[in-house]
This record gives sequence, structure tokens and C-alpha cells, in this order.
Amino acid sequence: MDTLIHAQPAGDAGAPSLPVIERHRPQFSGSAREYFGIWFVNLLLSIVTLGIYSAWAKVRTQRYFYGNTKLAGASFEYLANPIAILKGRLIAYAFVIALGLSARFSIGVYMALIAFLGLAMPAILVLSLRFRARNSAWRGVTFGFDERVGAAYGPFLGWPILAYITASLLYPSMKMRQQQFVLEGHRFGSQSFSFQGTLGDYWGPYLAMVGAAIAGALVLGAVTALGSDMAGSREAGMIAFLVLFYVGFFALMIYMRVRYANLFWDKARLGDHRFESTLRARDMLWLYASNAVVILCTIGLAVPWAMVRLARYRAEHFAIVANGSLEGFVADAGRYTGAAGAELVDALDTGLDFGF
Amino acid sequence: MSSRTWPVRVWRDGDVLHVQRDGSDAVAWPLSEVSISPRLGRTPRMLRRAGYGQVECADSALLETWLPTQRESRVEAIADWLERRRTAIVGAAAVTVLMTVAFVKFGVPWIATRVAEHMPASVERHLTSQVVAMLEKVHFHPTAISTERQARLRARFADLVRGEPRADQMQVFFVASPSIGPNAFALPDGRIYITDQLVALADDDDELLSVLAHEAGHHVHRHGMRLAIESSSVLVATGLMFGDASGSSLAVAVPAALLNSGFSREHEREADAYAIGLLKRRGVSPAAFARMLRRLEQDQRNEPGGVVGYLSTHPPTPERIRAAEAAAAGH
Repeated sequence: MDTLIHAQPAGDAGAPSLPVIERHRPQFSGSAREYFGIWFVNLLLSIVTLGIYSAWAKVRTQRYFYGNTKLAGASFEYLANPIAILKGRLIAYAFVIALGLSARFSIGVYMALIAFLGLAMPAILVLSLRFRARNSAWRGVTFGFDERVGAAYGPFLGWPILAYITASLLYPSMKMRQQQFVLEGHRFGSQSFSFQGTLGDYWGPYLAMVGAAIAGALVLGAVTALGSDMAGSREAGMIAFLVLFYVGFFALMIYMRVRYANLFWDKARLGDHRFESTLRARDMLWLYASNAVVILCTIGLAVPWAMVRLARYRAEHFAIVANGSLEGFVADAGRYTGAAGAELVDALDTGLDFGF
Repeated sequence: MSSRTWPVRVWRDGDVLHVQRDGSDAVAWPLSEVSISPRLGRTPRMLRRAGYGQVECADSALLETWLPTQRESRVEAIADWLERRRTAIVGAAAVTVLMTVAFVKFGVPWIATRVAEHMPASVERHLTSQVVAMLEKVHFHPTAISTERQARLRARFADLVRGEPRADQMQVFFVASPSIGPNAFALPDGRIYITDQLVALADDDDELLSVLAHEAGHHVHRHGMRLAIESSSVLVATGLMFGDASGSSLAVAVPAALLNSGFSREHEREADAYAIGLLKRRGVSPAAFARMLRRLEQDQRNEPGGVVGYLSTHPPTPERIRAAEAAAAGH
């Protein structure tokens, strides 16, 4: 008779207790050394199988990062079936090949395909959110995303157009509607997430960004003028301008992403539970910039290290502030409708990022 | 099912897994109804019984004896075996690199040649008309070369390529194009364009003829179509293989561009060899080709910038000149 002890620290096994507020921080236990083997095998097998293995590679990568993230005593799980992902990828690759060939052979077809892709983007976004949510689980309870496909066209097509034609003045409104849409569509088990933000919250990061952009432009102008004076050539000034422009642009992008990711979690509620995201723009800037340099210097071999490092930082700066017990979430088995087709879009990876 | 957790003890007894909470009786789970998540690094394993719940536990050698790898997770079991062995990884990497190099160096050009040979002429014409429409809009101006000189060059060219494969499709066009500069190029349907700037640079008709012979080589060997196929297949293959390796499209785009210029250099060498052979067979000295290349090189040197070696779509000019002069010496 073999015995295996399962020691799970959490669980106030039924003892009656008053609702207490407790902060749970996820623990990330992945290591760059261990993940390197997984990443490298993923790469090799994907090459040897001409990309077929990439579906398994995706699942193993996700499972590694989910499985190594522990919250309140239990790990996250990624449940997607590689075969489902493979089917989706084959369709997506057929589309990409059609795109590549038409770009060379028929501009008309190419433009039509691009237009189709642009119009389908909100739908693709909803389907991939659905896929990811229903394949993510914690303590055996899966997440879900129930919003209709058509409902994404407002926040993810209409509002971006409005923000564009108003020279970004409506950007905060757009951002709020997008985050509200994403948040309110999600549920954990049968418990829906809710959104508590107001438009005012969304103006803060935007105004700070505009201010920083104006200040940056002034500094840039001064440095360029100074640089071309000192070096005595216009070319030196131009190079200084371009370098500073890109660095500044990159920094502003990161800043916006970090501020809005923190805001997203700050305004999220799951029943009575709250969340905390305390990412710092300067930390993320350092992480991204140093990762990029190290990856370039190691011709890509440091990618696993960079991914683990980022995951660890993100886990350290996230928390769920539980009001009462986290034991009461109930799986919702009956709501899997409408998930068909979600697998098909996974390969197009929308890269939607909530900062965790 | 809920998110409620309990610490449990799990043990096996024959075909049954016993799951026991502290202070309660053990629950029996038939092994046949229990599934387990595949091994992955040191991540926890999940023992799942549909409708009853799941047990999260650290990985252990015991689990493999209790629940041997099932058919649907065999792929992951192989991956897991490999992931845990550094030497196997290094060996597999070496084999992969060799296979990839061989595929790119020999496989892709071979496939492109076969496919290009079976491409219908209508595709070549369609491809050409699109390129020409773009060039005419942006780069082409009416030529200033006299009709007599044009006719003389065309007649000499027709004599040169008479009887060559696909020669009947070749057609020479003269255009002025300050933006392109001294250059000549062949399009997939057999049109050969030569710029006034190149004509002005040449000293005699033999030199121009040698350039036209080079362009004829591109058409005979279907280089336009082959390059289109080669670069498309590299793009598709790298997309397939590295689509989600790093998430960086630059990491894919740069090697793809390098490979493309590699294919292009190979085509230029082939066209040079063809031109030299053709000129010799028709009694024109390949030295004319060497002279023309030297002039082009001189002209490029006067331009600011210059050609970056590795990214160049053409082989180094000194190498091409040497090849032409060696052929002329043996003439």
C-alpha cells in the first residue's frame, strides 16, 4: 500500500469564523533554469514538426506559468486541449498564407482580407477571451466569459474610431468602456466580476501621459538643438532626436499600460473581494529594457529567463483582498454554451494584457 | 463543486484510490475513473475524478506507477522526457540546426524551381503587370534613346538569345528613371527593362548586350517566380516554426530578410554564369560584362551610402568581375 500525503495549508476546515479581510498574494515558483529546458524543447519540436507541435508548446508554456502560480494554497490550472488549439492554428495559418500570397499576387484580394480582419477583430477578441477564461481554473473552478460577440463592437471598434477622430480626447472614455466590457463579461464559477470605475478615474493616467508627452517634446527639441550645435552636424542631432524619440515613446507606452492595468484591478470586484495591482512604471520599464538587451546579447536564449522574471515581478505586485472566505465559489457547469469556435481564434493571440 | 479545500491523505489499494480528510472516513475513487495532469517541471499534479473533485499534490514517482501515461498525453510525456535531459536537448538542437540549414540551402530552392516550372504563364503575366503598374506610376519616364539605337540593340539581343529556352517571351524596354539609376531588370513574364542611365554609363553596345544577357539568364531560370516562391515559403515556414517562440516579429523578420537576400545572391550568380556562357557561345567577349560591372561599381562608389554586404541582394562585385574576366581570358 503506497501512501502519499497531500498537505494543503489553506482551509479553515469548516470552523465558523467572522468575515475577515485577508490579503492573498500569488506565489510564483517557476525557475528560469527549469523553464529553459521546456522552452528549448518547445522550440526544437516546433521546428522539427514544422509548427504542428506549437499547439502543445503553447499549452505546456501556459501550464508551466499557471501551475507555478499559487494563490491561497492552490495553483492555477490551464486546461486547454492542444488538439483544439492545433485546429485553430491551422485555420489561422491558412489565412496568414492567403494574406502573404495575395500581397504578392493580388492587391485587391489582400485589401479585402485586411478589411475583413479589421472588422472581425472585436469578434476575435471576444472568442479568445472566452477560450482563455474557460480553460483557466483555480481550485477546480473554471472562469468564464459570457459577453456576446456583437457587444464588443462598441468598445473595440466604435470607441477607438471616436477616440481617433477627436484626436484622442475621448481616449479615457474608450479605455473605461473597454475595461468595463472585459471585466463584466468575466465570471469565476457562477460569480460574476463587477466594475466600479468612473470616468474621472480614467482621466488621471491620460492627463499625466499628455503632460509627459509635451514635456518630453520640449526636452527633445532642446537636446536636439544642443546636440547639433555641439557636434556641429545636423546628422548627430537627427540621430540623438530619433534615439530619444523612440526611448521616450517606449517609456510612455509602458507608463500608460501600467497605470491602466493597475486601474483595471483597482476597479474590479468579485463579490465582496477586491484586487490590488501595484505595478510600477519605472520597474516595468527597467524589466522590459533590460530583458530586451539581454535577449539581444544572448541571441534569444535568455527569453525563458526574461519570461520568468516578468512573471515573478507581476506575482509580487498583485493581491486579492478577500473579504471573508474564498471557499464559497461554485462551479457553473451549465454555462458552456457559445464557446464553440473559440478555439479557432486562439492562434491570432490578441495580446490583451491585464497586467497579470 | 466548489472552491472549498481540505488537506487530504491519498493512498492506493489495488484498483482503488483512497482519499481521506482528517477525522472523516476515506472515500474510494476507482483508479479507472481518475485522470491526472501530465508531468511538467516541478508544477503540482492534479488527480481528477469528474463530478467528485480533484486533489492537488506535488509530483512524485509513485504517481507514475498508480496512473501510467494515458494515450492522449503521450506527446507531452515524450516532451517531458526530453525537457529533463540536457544532453538530449543539445543533441536534438544540433540535429535541428543541420536539418534547417539543409532545408533552406537545398530544399527550398529545389521546391521553388519545381513549382516555378509548373506555374502557368498567366500567373507570370499577372504578377508582372502589377509590378509594372507600380513602377510606371512612381519610377518610369519616357526614354530619350533614339529609336534607331533601340532597334539596333533589340536586333543584336534577338540574335544573341535566338534558340535559347523561353527566348520568344523576352522583350526589351527602354525607360528613363533617375530614381532607379543605372540598372536593368527582368520581370517574370519575360520583359527586360533597361534604364537610360545604364545606357549612358555604357561605352559600347557589347557592354549593354552583356547586361541584357544577364537579365535573359534571370528569365531562362525563372528567377522572378522562384524568388517570390522562396521568400513566401521562408515567411510561412518561419511563421509556423517561431510563431510563438518569443512573441517578437523582429526576431523572425530579420533572419527571413537575410535568407531572402541569400536566395537572391544565388540567383545573381546563376544569371552571371548563364550570361558569360551565352556571350562566349555567340562570340562576344565576357570582358564586356566585367567592364560594365566595373563601371557600375565606380558609379555606386560616387553615391553616398553604398551597399551593406550581408544585406546585399547581389554577390560582391569584385567576385563577379573576376568570374567574367577569368572566362574572357579562357576565351
